Amino acid sequence: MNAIETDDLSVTLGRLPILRSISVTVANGEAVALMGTNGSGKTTLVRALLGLIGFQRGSIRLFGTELAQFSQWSRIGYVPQRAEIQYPQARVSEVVTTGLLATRRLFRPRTRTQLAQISAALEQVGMADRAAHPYHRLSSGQQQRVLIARALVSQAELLIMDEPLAGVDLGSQTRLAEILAALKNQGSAMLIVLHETGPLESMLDRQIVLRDGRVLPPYAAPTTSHGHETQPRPRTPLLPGMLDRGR
Amino acid sequence: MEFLVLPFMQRAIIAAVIAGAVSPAIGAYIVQRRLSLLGDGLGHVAIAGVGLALATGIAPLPMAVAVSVLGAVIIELLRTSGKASADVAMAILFYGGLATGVLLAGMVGQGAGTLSNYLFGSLLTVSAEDLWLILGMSVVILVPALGLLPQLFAVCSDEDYARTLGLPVRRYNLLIVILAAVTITVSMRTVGLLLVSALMVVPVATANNLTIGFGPALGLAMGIGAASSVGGVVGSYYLNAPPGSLIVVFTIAVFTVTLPLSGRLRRRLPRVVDDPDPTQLPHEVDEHKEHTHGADCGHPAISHHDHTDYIHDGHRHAPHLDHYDEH
Repeated sequence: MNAIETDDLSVTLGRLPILRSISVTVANGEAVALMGTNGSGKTTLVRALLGLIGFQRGSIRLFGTELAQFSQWSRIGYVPQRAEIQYPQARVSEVVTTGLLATRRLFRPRTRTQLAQISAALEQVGMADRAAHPYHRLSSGQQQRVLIARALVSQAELLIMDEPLAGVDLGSQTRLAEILAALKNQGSAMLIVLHETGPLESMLDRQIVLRDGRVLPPYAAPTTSHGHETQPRPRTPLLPGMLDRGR
Repeated sequence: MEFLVLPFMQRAIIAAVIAGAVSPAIGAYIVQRRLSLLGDGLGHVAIAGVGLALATGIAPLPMAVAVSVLGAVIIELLRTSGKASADVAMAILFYGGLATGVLLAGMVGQGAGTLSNYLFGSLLTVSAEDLWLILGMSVVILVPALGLLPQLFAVCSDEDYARTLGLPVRRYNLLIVILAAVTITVSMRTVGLLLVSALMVVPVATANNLTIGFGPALGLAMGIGAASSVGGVVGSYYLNAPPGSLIVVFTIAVFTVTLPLSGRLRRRLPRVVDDPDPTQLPHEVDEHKEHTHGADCGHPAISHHDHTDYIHDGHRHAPHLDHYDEH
């Protein structure tokens, strides 16, 4: 069974077509990068998959269930591109706790198991010592790691991440790559929006590249080795338009 | 302390404790959603309920609850409609409520004096029946406000994310404004409909300055609200002034006095260690000494921040010391 399956998906915002006839799949246990230039429709596709925006044509199935009927949201962990936590004094642990709400029963305090899950998720992203810290006092990279912990805390089977490496320092990127690789080995499926594969290169099974709201044919990464490399080199598809922007 | 033996003061103090604790409990969510003035608007709408009660001879409290809850539902529907005209519609609702209340009260000979008991609070108007009703309504407010704290916090702090958890975001948003409407009527006897918004907002602002974390701040705000309300009621007994005004003065005084402590608290927080400079971290290097990139080297050049990258073999080279970094 596929974790994600879209068929002929089209999304129009206002009168502007953003996604045109998108048919993609992410199999269980598969790690897929969703790539493309700014404005190609990556974030729109992610938001459509999560039911945050509607679609005009086609279908979305999550774990084999039509999106409209899907209710097992604890199976999905979402890391938004940038999260504005509206309460500036929120503790890191409070932010991560919200990740458990898909399964947490109403009017019940957190169980010991859930507290352990929160600690484990923070440990995974190297933020365990900041659990009581106010979220807004963290650097943007640290905030991103907290949001990843929030997605990890429910032990989701599918992680959908919108540029999880944006604003995260290189050391943390490498650490996150290790975390995500471990999760993948445990069977988690992933759809990760990226501008560049960077340290995630080795754990990715394949790439889906969007351009102007359409899926481009698979990119054949160059395979010629380059004499002086000290570690595996990220192979970033060079698309028209990427040349014009910064990193 | 002779006021403690007076039955009307006993009722007023109990009502003040309830109103003072309940108002910030809902106010915390209202402030978090950046709707601090919602309480003010709902207070205006509730005045129509009081006017209607005075005109029909029905008890003011239940009528004010019914009208303000109806107003809250309309406000939330207008707000979520996302239309520009919703802003104007809400203004019409607020001021229409105030005008209707004053008009209806005036028509039955209940002048500004009677109405001011509800606008600014009055120690004498809390009856035993009112007290039971206030107590019942406070339970109705506090059970969801505290019992659903994680869910309401999630909805107020990051609405999109709450949707991806499958939480019924619209229902929770509606619940918050309905609870706010009930809270306003609970408080109208002590702090009054025109000033209740301050009791919902100011203790929350004070607590936010003094604590870290939503849960602790909510608890502290309830304590500050209750203490300020009791102080205001007792002070108004001695000053022969409407309790609402004194309660609000107390809450603002607490906010002002504790403001310097807020700075101290910030300084005691562990310093945020910025992520290290990426150029100082281990990075991917390509020495590539057999070739020097330049304007005529034949590789496409890309301007990248303060330097130029060169496309080489499907990846980008950036000059750095005696080698090229992979960008």
